[in-house]
Amino acid sequence: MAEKEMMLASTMAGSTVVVKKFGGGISLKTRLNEMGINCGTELKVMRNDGWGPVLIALSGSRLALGRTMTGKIVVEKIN
Amino acid sequence: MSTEVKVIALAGNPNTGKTSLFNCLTGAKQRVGNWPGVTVEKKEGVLLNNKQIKVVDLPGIYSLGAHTEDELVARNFILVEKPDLVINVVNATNLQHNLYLTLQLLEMGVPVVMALNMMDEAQKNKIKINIPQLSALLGIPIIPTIARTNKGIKELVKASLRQEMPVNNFAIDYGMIIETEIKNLEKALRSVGISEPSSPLRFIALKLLEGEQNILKTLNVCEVNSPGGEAVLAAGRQSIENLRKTFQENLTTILIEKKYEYIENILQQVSNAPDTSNLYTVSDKIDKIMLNKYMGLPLFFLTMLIVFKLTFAVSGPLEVCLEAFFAWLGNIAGTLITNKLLSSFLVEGLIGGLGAIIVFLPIILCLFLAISLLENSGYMARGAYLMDRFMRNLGLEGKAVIPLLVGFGCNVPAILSTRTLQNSRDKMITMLIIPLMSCGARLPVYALFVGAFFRQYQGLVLFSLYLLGIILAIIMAKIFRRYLFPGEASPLLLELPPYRLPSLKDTVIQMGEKSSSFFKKVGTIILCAVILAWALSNFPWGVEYAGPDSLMGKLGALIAPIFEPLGFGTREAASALLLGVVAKEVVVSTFGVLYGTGQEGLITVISQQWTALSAYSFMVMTLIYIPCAGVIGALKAETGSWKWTIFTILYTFALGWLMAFLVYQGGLMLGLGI
Repeated sequence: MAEKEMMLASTMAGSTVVVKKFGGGISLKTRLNEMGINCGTELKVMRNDGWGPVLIALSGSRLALGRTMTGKIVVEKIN
Repeated sequence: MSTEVKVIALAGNPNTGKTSLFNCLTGAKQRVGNWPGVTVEKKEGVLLNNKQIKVVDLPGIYSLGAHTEDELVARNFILVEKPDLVINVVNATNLQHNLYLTLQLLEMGVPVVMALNMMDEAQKNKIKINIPQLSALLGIPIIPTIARTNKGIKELVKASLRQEMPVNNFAIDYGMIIETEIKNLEKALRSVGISEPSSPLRFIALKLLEGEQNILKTLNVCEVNSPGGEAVLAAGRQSIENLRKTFQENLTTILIEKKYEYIENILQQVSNAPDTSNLYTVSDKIDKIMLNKYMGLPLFFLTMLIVFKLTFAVSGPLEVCLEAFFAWLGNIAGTLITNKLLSSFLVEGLIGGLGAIIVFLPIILCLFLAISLLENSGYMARGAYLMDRFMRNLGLEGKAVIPLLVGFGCNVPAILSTRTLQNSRDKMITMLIIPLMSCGARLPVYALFVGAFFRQYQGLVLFSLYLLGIILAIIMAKIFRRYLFPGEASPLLLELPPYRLPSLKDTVIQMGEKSSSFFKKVGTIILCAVILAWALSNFPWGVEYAGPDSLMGKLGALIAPIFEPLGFGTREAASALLLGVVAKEVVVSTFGVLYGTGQEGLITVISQQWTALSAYSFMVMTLIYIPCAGVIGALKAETGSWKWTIFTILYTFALGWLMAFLVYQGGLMLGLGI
């Protein structure tokens, strides 16, 4: 994992991140892709309590992603 | 395309106002049921001003892939049932997200009309969309609408019923390399005799590239095992192999990314959408409090508590009135009809049965009003977000907490409200454990025995019963997940819509629809149960009601030994439990009749003939054993299968017996049986 890369699960609320990679199976990846979360997509982390789902802002909508899922999304912090 | 539209399907993402739009198009007269074989809700209606045209509301979905049951249902309907037109409901405030589904619909080759909904919110957010240009780019009619206020609906209907529906020749350019393979596959399909317009060749080719071999079967274009099918599938595999050399990525991902690139491209041309990703909306500000790490959960439970308190404050008195009304009606009928048998049947069987159904109405209406308000305001999604972390440990999704909480009020609406759950396995498990939530109707039974034996400890005893129900529900949920519905709970992927003022019209329609489905499906089973109970208690004709010589008395005496190890192996207790299946509170009135005391002297008689231990054991049994007729009816209606309904009856009886056995025998061993 490169310097600034981390799992979405360990990002701080308020930070803006770019999606880099997907771990896990192809079906999870496809599902996220179809929701508009692709490699290079910018996300804003709205809420991450350290447990439970992570709430993100994605072009105007607010999505809650289950904890296990966020442990499989590699992101890079840009802000 | 055919000139006459007969079936219109409504497709769109969740939170696009699709349901509102459906209500605008069809009015309150809707048929609600399940899609065959699955627990996904199916809604149908006819156009308000043209009753010949059927409108089908497809589940809210983000894509037509086959990831969820909802998606599969929607996709199969479009591909197999082939509606004459799809109205694609799109949220104008979030085109980027919504257009993905639009592109998929267009690729399927079905005629599409877009309802660009929530135009008022888009205006408020200063989003401008060049509708004529978007319409030209996509090649479909686009009608701006505001479903909440009925704006644009007339125009939408007009556009949908236009005689000459434009032929949909939509195609995204996926780039030369992929296009070459698409052409190859189209050729392969044609060479085995599959041709347009009956089969959308480009769509099939794309699906084959995504590795979806069963598309041939779904579309019924050719037998997979036939030489033609084999040839096509081989060509598909060859194309995938060819492309793998060029692209590092999975082809499905590439096709999705291409679609998003295409959307991006379109949006730059037609929309000035300001960058909203860094904007804190009003909803975000509310969520700072409602979803707060420490305050979120207490606020959720407080909200639910207030909702329930209000629900019962309103429905309680109404129930009393209705009961009084049916008692009065029974009296009148009783005095008017001189034939004893007929009057008994009418009063206790028919009118009593109808009464037993109608008394449910206030609580059903109130609870569904509350649920509908929670859902339409956007708070339900927050509850699901907050509870997900806990419910996940039970192997259930966060949203399952709502039906379970409703279960403490009444199990019947609880089961009917499991429809909002996404995953069918979660739905089944939730329905199976709802009967363990101690509902309001079991309280009179507790009150009787607590009054007789546990006056000093009534709070503690009641609490222990509720807690026992919850603990058993947790254990059973784990067992069912493990052995009956294996597999991981589907990962949470939930959109939190902005908070909105719920629309009165949609709320009323939703309430009406739930209540009518209760009457139609649950009502008959309650009526049957009441009439059966009447017959068992009164025949052979002339015996004392439910007395030792009646069928019920004989049946009670016959099965009483089963309850001997539980501390209440008497005919009275057995009969009361049997009749309690009609409705749990009937247990109390049955004791009143059988001990010949009426309601008043009952506590005294019970305290003389029972022990504290057998009383507690009986309360445990009442809590768990066989759900009431209303719940049985609701289970049958929602699971769509007698198998699971009977399973629930059997497992709750076995579990109730076991727990009461443990309580009584354990108590005896501890020397509590005096």
